[in-house]
Amino acid sequence: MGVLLLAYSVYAGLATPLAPGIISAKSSATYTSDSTFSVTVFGYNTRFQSENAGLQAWLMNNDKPVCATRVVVIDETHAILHFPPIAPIKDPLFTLKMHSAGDGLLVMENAIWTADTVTAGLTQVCQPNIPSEDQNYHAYPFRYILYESIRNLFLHVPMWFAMIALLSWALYNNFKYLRGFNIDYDHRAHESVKVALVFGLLGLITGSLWARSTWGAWWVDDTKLNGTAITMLSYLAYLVLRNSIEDEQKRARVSAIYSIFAYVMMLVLIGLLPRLNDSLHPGNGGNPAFSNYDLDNTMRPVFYAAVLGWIIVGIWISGIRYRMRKIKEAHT
Amino acid sequence: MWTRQIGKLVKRELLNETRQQYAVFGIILFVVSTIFIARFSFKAVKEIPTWNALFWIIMLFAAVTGIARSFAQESRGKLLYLYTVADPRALLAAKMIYNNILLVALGIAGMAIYGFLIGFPVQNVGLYILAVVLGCSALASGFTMISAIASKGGNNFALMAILGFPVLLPVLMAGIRLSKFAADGLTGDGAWQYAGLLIALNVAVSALAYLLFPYLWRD
Repeated sequence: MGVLLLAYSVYAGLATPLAPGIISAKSSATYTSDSTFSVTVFGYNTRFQSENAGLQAWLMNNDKPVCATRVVVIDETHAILHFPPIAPIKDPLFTLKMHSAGDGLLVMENAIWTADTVTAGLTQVCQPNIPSEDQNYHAYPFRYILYESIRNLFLHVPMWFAMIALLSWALYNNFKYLRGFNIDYDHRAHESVKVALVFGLLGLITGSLWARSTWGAWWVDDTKLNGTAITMLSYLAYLVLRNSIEDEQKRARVSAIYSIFAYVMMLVLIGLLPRLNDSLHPGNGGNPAFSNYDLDNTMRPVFYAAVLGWIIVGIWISGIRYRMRKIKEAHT
Repeated sequence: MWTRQIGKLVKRELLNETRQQYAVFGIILFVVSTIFIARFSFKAVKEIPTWNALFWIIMLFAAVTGIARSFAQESRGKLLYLYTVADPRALLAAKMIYNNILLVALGIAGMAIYGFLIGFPVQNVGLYILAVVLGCSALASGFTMISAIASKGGNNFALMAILGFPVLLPVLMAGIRLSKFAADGLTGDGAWQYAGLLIALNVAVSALAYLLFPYLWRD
């Protein structure tokens, strides 16, 4: 069943298109209040040509819109908007908004900058005609910097969830071992830790790839990244510790104790420290978390399915390894 | 009864130290020679981040060296004797208290020597001393437990380092951040957060050790 969940999440993750958005908007003039100026707009997944008649565009300054006098559509993703002279009221920055029935509302904050000084008056305020929410097809949110790589949310974050779930499972098994000294629990814990390490490694790799495409570097000096690396190190030390003790019961006891230690430290490193320090990661260090910012209803079902899918697959793999080990031991 | 046991055990450790003096003097020698090496290489370290980091590295390795023998030096006969006589938790508490005293004293002394030889560009001295005390205390508790674990695994220094560093890195990071706050002369929310974190880590490590040590002890 875990495989089904995974398949669904992978398919939905890749097949759902990204919502339309504005990639770039360039103004033709530095001063916007001298004369008419034009803004060249490039969109993503937009359908400018199909919506030609219904396409409206306006610039906002201090929440007052100024409509475009003419909209020239070049192709589906390329349009030129002509604006009358505008003198800014509040800041020298204008927000560009476009609307069409098919694309919905496209917003680019602080798209155009003007070298004019801020004055009091604003000419030609107009009222654009926007109906209420009209997202008529199923798409993922369009976010700057992320663009298409938002799909990595389904791969990278579930890896970490799965690793933590597996380590919790290992912790539970360690506790059970220390209660009854039944060696089976120790074997289960051992296999869980090994699979958890593999998931952690995959999480680091996917995170590194994502970082390269969004932040520009394979590895940054970020608290969460360091914390997860150190957690991996401590569980690798767990494996080293297991190798250094011969007697089975003693080994099980000592490694159970160390693993409980390492688990608590992991909670500190991955959960607590990133919230205290500044961080590039969403959800830590002053950035808005994914849940209320990006994870709207289109992504949520796929995301939860992915998390559950990977957790189930991880526990399944560790269970299989444990059973293989038991069979191997029974036959020697 | 229990506190009396701890008291007697701590006294035993101290007595052991004064007789076989190589332990404490060994660590002091280690710290002083590393500080001298630093002085010969750097002459004087002006920038605070470097200065701070160097101090904490020296303290970390002194901690590992000093506490590594804490469980390792008991021979098998002594271990058996202790097992029959003392409550394991009392023994652990005694070792932790002793190591705490040792490492905090070493931290203060090390800080003094370091400042004397390499320079002391610290603005907020009180907070810095607090940072050193809290950090060394948390390191001591952690390394005592790690030393107990490693002593079951063959008594080598490498194993204790491998086990200890990843698990105690949060303590080190919090200690470095807090002491950097102190050295820069800043106070306020951020600083006390790290101090609280150090205390919390210390308590967590000690509590875990207290709960888990009896399982480790049955040998």
